[in-house]
Amino acid sequence: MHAIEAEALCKRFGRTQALDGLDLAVRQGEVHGFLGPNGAGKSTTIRALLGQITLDSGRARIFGLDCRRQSVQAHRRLTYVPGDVALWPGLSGGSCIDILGRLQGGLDPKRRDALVERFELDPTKRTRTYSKGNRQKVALVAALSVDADLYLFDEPTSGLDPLMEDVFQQCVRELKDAGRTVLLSSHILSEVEALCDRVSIVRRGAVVREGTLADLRSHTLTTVTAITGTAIARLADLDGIVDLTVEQQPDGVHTRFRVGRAALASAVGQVAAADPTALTVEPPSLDELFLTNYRTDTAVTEGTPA
Amino acid sequence: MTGYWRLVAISLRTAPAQVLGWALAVCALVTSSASAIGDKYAEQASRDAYAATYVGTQSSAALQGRGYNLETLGGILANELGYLTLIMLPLIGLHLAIRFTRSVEDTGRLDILTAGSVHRLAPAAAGLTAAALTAVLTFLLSAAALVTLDYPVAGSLRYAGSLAALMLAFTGIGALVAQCCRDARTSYVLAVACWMVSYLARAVVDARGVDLTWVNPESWLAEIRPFAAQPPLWPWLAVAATASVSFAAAAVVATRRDQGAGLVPPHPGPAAAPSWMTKPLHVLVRLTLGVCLGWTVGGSLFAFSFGYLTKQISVLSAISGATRSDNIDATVSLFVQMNALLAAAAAIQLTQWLAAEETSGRVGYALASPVSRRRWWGATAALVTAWSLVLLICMGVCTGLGLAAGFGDVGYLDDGVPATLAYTPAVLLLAVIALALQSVNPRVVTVTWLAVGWGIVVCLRADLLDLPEWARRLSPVHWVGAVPRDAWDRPAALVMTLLALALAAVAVLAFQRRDLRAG
Ligand SMILES: Nc1ncnc2c1ncn2[C@@H]1O[C@H](COP(=O)(O)OP(=O)(O)OP(=O)(O)O)[C@@H](O)[C@H]1O
Ligand SMILES: [Mg+2]
Repeated sequence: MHAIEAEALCKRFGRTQALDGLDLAVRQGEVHGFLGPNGAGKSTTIRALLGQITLDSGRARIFGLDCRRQSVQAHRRLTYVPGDVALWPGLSGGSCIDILGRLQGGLDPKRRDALVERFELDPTKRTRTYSKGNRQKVALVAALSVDADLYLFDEPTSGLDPLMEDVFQQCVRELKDAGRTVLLSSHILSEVEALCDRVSIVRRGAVVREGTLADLRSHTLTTVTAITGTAIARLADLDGIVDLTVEQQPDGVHTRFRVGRAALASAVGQVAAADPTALTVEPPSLDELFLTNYRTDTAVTEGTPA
Repeated sequence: MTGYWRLVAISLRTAPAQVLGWALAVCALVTSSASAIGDKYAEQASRDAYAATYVGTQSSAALQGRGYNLETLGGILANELGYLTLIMLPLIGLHLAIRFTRSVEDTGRLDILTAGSVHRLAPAAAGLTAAALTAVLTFLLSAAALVTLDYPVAGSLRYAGSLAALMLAFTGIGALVAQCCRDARTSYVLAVACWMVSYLARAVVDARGVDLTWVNPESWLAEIRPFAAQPPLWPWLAVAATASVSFAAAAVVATRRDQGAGLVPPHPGPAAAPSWMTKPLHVLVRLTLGVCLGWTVGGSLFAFSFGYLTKQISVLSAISGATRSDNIDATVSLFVQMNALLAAAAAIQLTQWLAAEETSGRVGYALASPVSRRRWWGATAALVTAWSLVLLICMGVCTGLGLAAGFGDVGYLDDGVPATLAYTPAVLLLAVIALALQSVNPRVVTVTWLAVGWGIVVCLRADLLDLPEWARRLSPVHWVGAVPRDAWDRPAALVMTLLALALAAVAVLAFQRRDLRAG
């Protein structure tokens, strides 16, 4: 049984098709990254998982419990940080944390105090007077103080400074070590790379790619640059080589190309055969990986992208 | 002021219904009353008879203000409309002032606007311009209506002007309140408190015939004497002074305070929630405690004042022949109906607050915990109905206290509570209607105010407007009958209770099925 199983979720808001057959599977004990451009449908998916909206079609389950009909049982096992943290005006941050924790069924006061300390939060301030990052911290402390099986985080670190970002990452690692499941929607790629076992990339209400980061990388192009004495033979004939540039410079022939996973070995073999004085093989950068997947004009095809 | 005109345009474009709607509502009221009075008092003899009943007594003035020039049609109109205008116009003025300044600031929209090339005071000035435009429209529409109905031109202009002036004076007060408070919610509470003090002070001054009409904006409406041969000038000056002083004070406060904050900086709160706050209901009680206490104090004060004034008011009808105790009962039933309508108003406002909890996303956030929607709805409904019952009981007790104090007879002490509680089913029904609308869509709760507004019209002005029975029946308060004058209508009470329960059941289902807003 997976922690989250969503099949073919569809949801339309007026003229916007927010979810268009979205499938999502999050295994127990993994940190699952949930990525996609603005308006892709990440928050809508999480709200559907929480039973806040009725789906037009599709089925969503958390630990085998139906998200809509058995939402109370499902909610006993999860906790949530919303994308737009709205706290009760007039209450102090500490009160908000306690209220949210107690609605959840009780939080551990020791853990709460430790987290308040770690996140350097002043719990006596009124919620209206918190800065954006501090409001975010209130929600994080409230969620992390609860001992849950599943943590739903919708852009949990938006507005946090790098130090606090680091504290958050430590907290998530601790959750992972304790065998908890985390669904992490985020726009911060380094955070995703540091924390996530697997990721799902959503675009226009559907998951366009899903797998480990290594999997995703294998679908993108590796950049190879080499300096050789003479031009490398037969490179242009190889399948799967793109953006090939060859320049004659004083220190030799500069060759640069990008290549998919399938042709990588033979391409590098050709280069090695030409006895290079310098050779770099760069894996696709994370940014590049995501940008390719985010852009709507890129055709989404499995295998080697054109 | 840089950006002023642009912001005026934005204010008008974002809320044209507010600006136009309120002016049209007042104009509709004026037109319908003016034409009814024109028919009823077409003969000079009937007007003289009307004026004669008022000679030497100011007793009903507690509710309708002082009457002047009652031998003219216009005088009768102003006198009869006093019942509603003294309530409506100030509240509209206060509401618009807050709606166009503080409520906008609360959304955070101002932070974006003032980052542009916009004068610091321009957003507030523009918002208040939009609010004041309603007063101007009220003036133009009402004046046109009265002139069309053949009321004297000068008098019509002055009367329409006096309506606009009262609205404007309270727009000024609302502007000041909105600048001083930390958010729109507190502004509304304080603003309504200001109005209530002003209204009750005028009631006492008018009923007792004290010569203190110059202190209170509520008194000026009558003192303008629009249909007199030589109307005084000073009330106009007083309105102008009040409005300009409060607008200036609002401007001073606006320049002194921080954007998004009130005059008093917030002080730190407790680091942890009190240990009793563990259930949804507790949280909701904590959130609404302030406004509920405000309603209780205000409502009690209202009930006491009118209980106290009952003696004077019931004298009036005694002159026209009925027996004394009948008159007292008739007057008391008027006031307990007002108690019931106040309790319903409190229920609606509470429901609106709770609806705002949802639109802000906090309900969605809280319901990510293992709390079912039904439980949340139950907590909301329990809170709203319990508070309106508490309010009803407090007001009933205070009506009794007021009666006893006014008549100097402790025998009246227990007259208030049973009469007020007789209206419980009507209050429940109105509260459940608000809750049901909230359960379908949190943004439409406002519509329930129409029911309360109509209830007030039926309660105070049904006879004057010659409303047909079906129109009176649109107000649930009317179903109960005029307790204690009439017997309590048990079948109606039963029907209303059952209707409320049925509606509540439908509302829970609707709330469980629909999408939660935001969050
Ligand atoms: N209540 C609503 N009514 C109408 N449209 C909505 C509503 N909620 C979401 N949408 C639309 O659904 C689409 C998906 O929105 P969603 O909030 O899920 O995006 P997201 O992936 O979370 O984006 P972001 O990264 O900006 O947070 C958007 O086009 C949005 O405008
Ligand atoms: Mg989002």
